[in-house]
Amino acid sequence: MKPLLIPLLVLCILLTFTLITNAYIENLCGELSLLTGQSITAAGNGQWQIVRDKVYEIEKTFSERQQYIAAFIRHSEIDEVLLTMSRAKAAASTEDLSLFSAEASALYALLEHMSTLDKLSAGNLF
Amino acid sequence: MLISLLRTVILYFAVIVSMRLMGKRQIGELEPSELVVAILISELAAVPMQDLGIPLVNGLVPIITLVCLEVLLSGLILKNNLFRKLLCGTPSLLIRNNTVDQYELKKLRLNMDELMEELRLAGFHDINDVKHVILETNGRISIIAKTGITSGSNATGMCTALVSGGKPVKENLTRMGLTIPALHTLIALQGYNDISDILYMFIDENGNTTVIPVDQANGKGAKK
Repeated sequence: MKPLLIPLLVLCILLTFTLITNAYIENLCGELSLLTGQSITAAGNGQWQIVRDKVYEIEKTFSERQQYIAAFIRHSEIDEVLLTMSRAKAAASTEDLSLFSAEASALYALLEHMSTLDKLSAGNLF
Repeated sequence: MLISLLRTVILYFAVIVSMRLMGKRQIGELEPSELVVAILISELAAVPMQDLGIPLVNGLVPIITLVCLEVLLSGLILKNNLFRKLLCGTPSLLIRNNTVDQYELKKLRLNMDELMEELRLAGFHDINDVKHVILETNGRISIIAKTGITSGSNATGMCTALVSGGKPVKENLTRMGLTIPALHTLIALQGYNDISDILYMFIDENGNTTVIPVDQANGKGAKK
């Protein structure tokens, strides 16, 4: 039975690794989604400095962790997030409420989508 | 391009190591699942090799998973006969004691032409020279010849099929210079009234005919 334990062990390690990675991505996306939500609320209240600070924080956090998550998520998904983030940042700097709301909402949706990419669900499985 | 190059190198070694870990039976494709796994691994390695937008892990994780599953399954097959039967099936006796098992042929969706082709490829041109023919679980055919006969030692030369699956083989009849009425006469001489009663009939270069009738009861044929 000993030789069979090795592939079983490897499978368990793989499973653990994928679960940890999923949890990490979910946490990151959750964190960024929260910041995005807060920036949308602040923009609605006209608190543009807070908006710019939040967007800066989102950008910084994502950039710091980008290299790691790029190993597990399709690069096109990451590119889309970066693009939407830069558009939201530009809208925040010009204090354009309608444009910022649109881009920030799109960013929120992208982050939510990214967090469910590898989630164990019937939709993902089939 | 550098990324493409490095990915190719990584995936190449991943595939080599995978095949090495799975062992000689994988390379030999002893069972159907091994053929499937070999094809899957090559496809999985090709995807991140071509598309740089796909993470390398998306190719490596499935490859490692397949290797582990393959090693596990082959270990279980070794330890458990029931599992082996379930996963690999059992060898099928197509010809048993010089008798064609027509039920088995039907079950395997094999026709006589295919069986004769395999015999010829193995160097047996006359079905009368073989005692047992086994279709192994890996899809290969094993032939046990009658005592004193080896492959390629057939003295009767090439055998030509005249009837296959109850129907005349018109091209061969034309080549042999036989007409349908002449075929009917030959069949009548063998003691059969209808071509549809004959599963397979062939003639050798000496003019000797061999008939394998259709077994109406349970598909088990009787040799002449």
